[in-house]
Amino acid sequence: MSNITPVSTTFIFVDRRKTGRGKSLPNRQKLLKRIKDSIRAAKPEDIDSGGVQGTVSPSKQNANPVKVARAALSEPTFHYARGTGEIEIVLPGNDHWLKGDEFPVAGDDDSSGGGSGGGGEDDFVINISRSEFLDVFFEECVLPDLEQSSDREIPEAVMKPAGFQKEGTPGQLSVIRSYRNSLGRRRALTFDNREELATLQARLDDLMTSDLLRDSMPHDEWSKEVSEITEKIVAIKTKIAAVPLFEKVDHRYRKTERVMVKSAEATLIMIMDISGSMDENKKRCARKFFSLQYAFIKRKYPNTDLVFIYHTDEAEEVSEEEFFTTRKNGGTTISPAIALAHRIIKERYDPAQTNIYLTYAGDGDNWGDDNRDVLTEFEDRGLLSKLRHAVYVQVGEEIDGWGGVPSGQSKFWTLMQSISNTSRKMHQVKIEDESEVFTAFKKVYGNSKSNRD
Amino acid sequence: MTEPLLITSHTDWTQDLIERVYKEIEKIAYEELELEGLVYPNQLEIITAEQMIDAYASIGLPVHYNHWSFGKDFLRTQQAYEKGRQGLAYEIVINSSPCISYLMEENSMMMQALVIAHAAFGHNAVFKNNECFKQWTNAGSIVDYMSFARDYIRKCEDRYGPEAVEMVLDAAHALAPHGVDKFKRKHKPKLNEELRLKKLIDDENRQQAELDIVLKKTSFRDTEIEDAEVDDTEDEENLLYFIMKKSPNLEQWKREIIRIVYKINQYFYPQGQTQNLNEGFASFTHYYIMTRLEEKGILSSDAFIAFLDSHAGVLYQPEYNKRWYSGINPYALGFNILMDVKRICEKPTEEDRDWFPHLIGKRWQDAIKEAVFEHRDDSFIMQYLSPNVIRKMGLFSVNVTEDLENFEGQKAVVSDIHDEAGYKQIRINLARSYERINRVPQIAVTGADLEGDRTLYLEYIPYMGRKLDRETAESVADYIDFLWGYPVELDDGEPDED
Repeated sequence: MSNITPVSTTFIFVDRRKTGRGKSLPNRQKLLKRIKDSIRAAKPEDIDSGGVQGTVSPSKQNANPVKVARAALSEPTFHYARGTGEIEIVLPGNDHWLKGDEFPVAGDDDSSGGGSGGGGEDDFVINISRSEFLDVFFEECVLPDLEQSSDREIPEAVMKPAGFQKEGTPGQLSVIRSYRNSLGRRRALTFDNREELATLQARLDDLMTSDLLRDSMPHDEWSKEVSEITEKIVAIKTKIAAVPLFEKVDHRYRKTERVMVKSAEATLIMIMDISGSMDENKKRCARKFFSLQYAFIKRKYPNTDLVFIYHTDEAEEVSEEEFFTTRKNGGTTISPAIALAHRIIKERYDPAQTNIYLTYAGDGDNWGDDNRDVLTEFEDRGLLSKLRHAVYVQVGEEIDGWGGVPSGQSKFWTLMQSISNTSRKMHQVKIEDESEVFTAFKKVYGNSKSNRD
Repeated sequence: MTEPLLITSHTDWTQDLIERVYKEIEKIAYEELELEGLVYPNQLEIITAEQMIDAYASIGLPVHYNHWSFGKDFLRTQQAYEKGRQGLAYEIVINSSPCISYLMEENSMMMQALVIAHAAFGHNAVFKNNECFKQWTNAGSIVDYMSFARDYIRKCEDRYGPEAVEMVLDAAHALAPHGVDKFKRKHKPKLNEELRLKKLIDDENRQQAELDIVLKKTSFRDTEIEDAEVDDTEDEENLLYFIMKKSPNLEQWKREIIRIVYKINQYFYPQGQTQNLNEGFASFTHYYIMTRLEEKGILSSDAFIAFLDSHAGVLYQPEYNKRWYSGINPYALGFNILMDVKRICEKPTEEDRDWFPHLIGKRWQDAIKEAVFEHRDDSFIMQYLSPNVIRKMGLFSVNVTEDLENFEGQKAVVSDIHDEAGYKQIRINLARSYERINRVPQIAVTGADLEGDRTLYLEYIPYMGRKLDRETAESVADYIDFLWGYPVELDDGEPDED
């Protein structure tokens, strides 16, 4: 061990370990900011992957979040296009090639290196999970009415038994399970010994009890065999006893699992007009809005039920696929769909236990007299009071309503406005084109406090 | 008095041991390799693995301005390191005076000795004596320059916002491969760089307001400092330099940032040109010195075996058909060539007499130094790659061309192998593959209509029938647009798509 040594004059020695740490921290912070900015700037189509649930379903993970960030992190430079022109490559390790041989062209990558490693762009993996992506994406959004009954907002976790496991704390040890394992193991391990023991014991019994046998052999031979067998029996018994009662492999511990209880549930009821006037574009707008909404709500409530209702002048509950693919002719009356939603809530959900969200998407075209029925359903019959939040999404270009409505506003829009004027649960938003979906979404959920005041 | 110096494979380093070993290494380097007076003073720095990754990410400079791409490099290296795909190269060494070499704390004493021999003597000597480095880099001032550059860019961030600075850096980085002078410019700046930048920082507060107004009116003229540097437009290949000089309305601070990127590029230019001879000589040096340390009884035989293991790992050259083949290993090629030069000097064969008459009878120390100090990779390989090394490495040459019969396909034919008929051509082909044009397409300024609508005309000069990758070219062109501020036309030699 050396203490203080005179510093050499021929070179400078610096212990840099304590100082100069985290030098690249600002660089990493800049990187992070760039990734976040790029995600924030992403359009809804970058995260939409088809169905409403596809947006957050891990099985349907597509590469989009990574693609978004990747584009933001690319560092382009001029370079040659692959596979063009002529190139002479010198390779090491010739095993059998002769001049003039045809050489297999390597797969698109590599082996064209020439050695200097200048090319190898982007083997870099950015680890952003879908949920991190959505975190940033929904960063500025607020789930409305959080303060109303916040106790229900937080999913409650309860520990429930879930079988047995091999590792655990002593407190979790299941004695019965472990003993059962021990029994089996000891049986298996001592099987041969026990068989031998039984044979020996039988012989000894014979020797001791059968006079016939004893008389048929010389006495010293008899006593020799008896003592031999007795010795063997003792040895085997010791062997059997040496197998421990409990081995680590026998131990079984009670396993518990974290289970979310029912109170953490949410239901998103989606209602859409599928009458002739709802063209592909309008449905796409609706679907995107639903997707975002589902992804957003799902982040708060792990168990989110989806209910799909479509309507013309009749309403029906359907599967997600039908919901988006079916198109029917016929008139448009909205109230049967609203009434159906109300009935489903009454039959299946307890508003005290479940957070119910209702979103209606349509082009606002409604049979004139029906509007009053819609209003009745929401207010007089108490649908609105059961909902946590309701959104009316008007998709497609504005149509002029029936006579007497101010130009540019459908009558239904005006009707909804009358509700939202008195209740902050009701929100309404217009989407004319797919590109407006995200803006519309932010309008509804973006920092709701400032909207209200 | 002191115990005899002995390093086993289990010896941990201490400062005391490092000093004693350093002296032994220096002795061998000076007396036997004859490097006395040929190295910069050394500075050895003990660092952690994380700091080593830091150092990687700032391309080995001890000071660097901040940019997200260095954060990306950091994570890339860290990922590779943590997944065990990549060991950290045990050495990073900086072309500076004093010459800074990093020693990782978890290295054994044997490894520290290896790094000292490799970096503090091998690379150090190349930095100080190789013509390419002598011409393009100033080891004495790089660290100070980088401090000023970092401070300047920080100041710009404060004043103009980090986003604006980032945009300029992004754009300048995209042009970095085209921000290199391959020949000396006629005029040198009158002040040296760091003094000039310091002056700028000092003056800036006072000048800024007026400067902005003046600049707007007089467009690009840089104030009195730089008038001497202006030169012709035609066929300029240093795009960064050209934009810095001639972009019509670029603010002064953006010009300065471009200049910084250009200066750093120029500083690193020799490293890209000398990889094989540089790593080759460093490996040659450590191999010689470690062998001598063992012969002198300073390295125990088990430490020497541990050394040989590391050495073999660094010099491993996978064959072309191995999955992990990723080009020719510059350590291996450079080392093999130099070991062969030494052999030819000492024990030439008949073949060597034909191929290397100028090496016969020469002292190997002189021959090695000449090979390493007077060349770049292409000329080094061209002059010194011997038939013996070609045979040993089984080098063969493959000609890959577009297969015009099958659209989009390529075909490849073995053009030469390691035999009498092939040696010369393989040597030529390998040397040429290290020419810069094989990696960086040539883009030249063909004109800039400075009096008229100020359109900048760029042209790709085709090489070996290769085309320019269009997608990235367009992205880069966008960056040029941004810096130039007026239309930019890039002629890539292909008809337009639409």
